[in-house]
Amino acid sequence: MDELLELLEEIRDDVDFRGCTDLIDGKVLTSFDIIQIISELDDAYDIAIPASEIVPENFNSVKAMYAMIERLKG
Amino acid sequence: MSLISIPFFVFICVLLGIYYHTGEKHQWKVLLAGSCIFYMWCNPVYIIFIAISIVSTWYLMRHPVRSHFIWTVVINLGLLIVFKYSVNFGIHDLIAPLGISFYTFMTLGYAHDCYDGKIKPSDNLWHYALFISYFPQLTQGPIGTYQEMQEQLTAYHGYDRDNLKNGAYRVIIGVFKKLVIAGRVGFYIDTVYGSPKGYGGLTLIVATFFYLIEMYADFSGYMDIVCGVSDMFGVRLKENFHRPYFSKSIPEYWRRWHISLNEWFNTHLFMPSVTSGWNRFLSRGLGKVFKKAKKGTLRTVFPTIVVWIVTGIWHGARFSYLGWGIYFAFIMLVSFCTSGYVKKLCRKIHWNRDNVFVKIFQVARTLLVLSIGEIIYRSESFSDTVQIFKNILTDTHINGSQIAAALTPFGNGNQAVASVIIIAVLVTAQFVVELAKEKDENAFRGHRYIYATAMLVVIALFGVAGKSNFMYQAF
Repeated sequence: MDELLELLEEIRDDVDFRGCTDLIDGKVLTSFDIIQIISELDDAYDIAIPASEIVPENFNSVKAMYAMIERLKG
Repeated sequence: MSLISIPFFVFICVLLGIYYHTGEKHQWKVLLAGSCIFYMWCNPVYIIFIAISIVSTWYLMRHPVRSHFIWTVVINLGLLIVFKYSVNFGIHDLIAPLGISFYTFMTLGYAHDCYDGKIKPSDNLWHYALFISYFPQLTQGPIGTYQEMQEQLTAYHGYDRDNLKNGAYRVIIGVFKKLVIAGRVGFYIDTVYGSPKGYGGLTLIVATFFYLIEMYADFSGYMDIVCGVSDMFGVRLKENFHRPYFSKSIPEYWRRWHISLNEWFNTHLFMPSVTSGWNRFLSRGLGKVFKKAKKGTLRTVFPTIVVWIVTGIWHGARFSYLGWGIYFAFIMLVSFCTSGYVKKLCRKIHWNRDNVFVKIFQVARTLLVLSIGEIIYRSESFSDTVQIFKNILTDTHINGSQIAAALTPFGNGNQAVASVIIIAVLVTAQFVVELAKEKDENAFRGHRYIYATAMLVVIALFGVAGKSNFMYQAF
């Protein structure tokens, strides 16, 4: 989880990823941020995030992103 | 059947009467029957093509496996391509079925969502038929999604006076925008863009400015009419315009203009392209050349080009549309690639982006970039585009003769002065309303009877008859 937090903070250093749970619904992240995030996650975790996984529920919090990564790795 | 016509008015009144006198179980069938009548009014034979699309998609996507999805895409896209581009293949007498672009978008969106497992396929053919053929959104959108529309369309809606009042008010706003504002400026644009060679830079700048006004008044006016009509039936359609000319950047503009179409492209073409294997492969190759670029930025390059070229070609197989698509692909890419640097630079030089003057600058810059794109789009040929840019850049002077020349497309003497005053007053009034709403969404909500009466008077006095066809109808 810490590694993921570090990666996210590199993309947006002005966002409190640790505490925020409505990153998409609260319009904290833009669609361009999401593209940056999925590109970094693909390489860092050796996964391929399909378009069908790009839904608010998977990106609203670090916890949700982590769960998605674990699911795609498995 | 034109939306601004007596037959349509009578059709709506009769349908509303039947709708609210029909019981819970059968009310949605009234909407389906009404949609069929609306569709068959123009050319009854064309109902065959929408029926093919509806039945084949519904049947195939009941089991949303890969092969069924591919067949759905082939059938629907095939019909669209045949009808839309037949002229380019030398077939001149094939008229495209009403709303084929928009119902094809809805059909493909439904099929893609079923295939991705985002929605459960419809188990009722007639419910699905109503979702695709619902008459207010059929010809020009908004492109509703199955999730948003299905429950609303099949649910029972009891008579609600507020729905009728709000809907009727919105219809009046739409007719006002279309017949008075778009209609008034439309003649000027048609005259100037019809033969741009003979006009100086100032006239061409005025015509381009008017074109921005015409497009917004026409498209958003249409949306006001269809959303208003749908409100009367208790069905809320998706909002398609959110004061786009107040956008501070081109990406923001495309999030506020024809919202449902852009969301469709984003969901069903852009994001699948971004995450596709071919794009991963190509963007990795690009990364070897641009070593300092962010991975995410590189991943947007090819999908942006694909989406904008498809959007351009979707408007028609013409140079101007393709050029327009390429231009906006370029602008979007510049925006994606530089946004991070611009943000950092602003922080460094303590440039406050919330400052009102900075915002005005950003809005003006967006309108300028947009105007360039619209010149390409509106020009009737490549040579016209070159001529317009050449005249604007080399022959623009603020002097008596150019001002007089800029007035000539309005007509002669008093007629020109009257036209200028009417357009200036109407556009200023519309701008004041939009500006107030940008600051407070609830502005101008009170005293509706007074506004509605005033608009009806202005429509009767200054509305341009014979201009009731909408721009997007052509697509």
